[in-house]
Amino acid sequence: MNSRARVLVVEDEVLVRLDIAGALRDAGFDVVEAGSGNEALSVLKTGASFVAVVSDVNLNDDVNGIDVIRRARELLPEAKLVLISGSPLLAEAADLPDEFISKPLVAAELAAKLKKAVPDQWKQQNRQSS
Amino acid sequence: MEATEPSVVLIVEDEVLVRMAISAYLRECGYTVIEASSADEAIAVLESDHPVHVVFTDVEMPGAMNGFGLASWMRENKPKMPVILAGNHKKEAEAAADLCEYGPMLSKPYEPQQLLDQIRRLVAGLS
Repeated sequence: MNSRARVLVVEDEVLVRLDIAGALRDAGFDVVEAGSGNEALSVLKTGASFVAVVSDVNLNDDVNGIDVIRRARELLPEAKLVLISGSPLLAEAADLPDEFISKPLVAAELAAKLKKAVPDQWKQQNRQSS
Repeated sequence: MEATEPSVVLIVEDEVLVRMAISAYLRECGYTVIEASSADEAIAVLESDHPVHVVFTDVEMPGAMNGFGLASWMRENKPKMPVILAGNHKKEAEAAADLCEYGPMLSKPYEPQQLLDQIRRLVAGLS
């Protein structure tokens, strides 16, 4: 059973998702990938715990990244929430994420940032796995 | 790490919870797993510079192309890359015989171990 700190990555562009998920795995996170907003909601509905949720704002279905982050905020109050977008963040969502990252993003920088942002959960989960 | 090189598996499955479970299992077994939620995503990966050694795809997927379509595309564009199809029906299995020269189609529900065995066989044939 894998007990590393787990991150949910929500991105509809497969190569960008692959880049972000790969960098996070290289940094030691366990990553769950969702390719759409609805996929992300299905994953969150399972009750799985995540130390962080990283979502693109624009997704290819009727659920966008703001909806995902809003739902994650309800279900996972402790998780760090990160929104990624190619355009400035909408005013309605400005207070939602803990972090906002503009595209183009450097996946390794995101991974380093997250590692810093979740030290407590990180240490706790690593203790459990050792 | 149980797996030996080459060991990158592309999983094409539109049901996120199924994809999540099978990907986690194969990663635990030592494989590098790339996840695609549709045939279009799979083709984007296969046309990129990411190395892929084996493709495992569900037959039934929404969108313009299903698993058979993807296997046909691969036959045309990646003729040497093995593909494993998973589906529900005998009819599908017969249709797939043409496309899966590397092994029989997996019938759903399949055990993760069956998939692992099939991937191991294919990877052994490649290295």
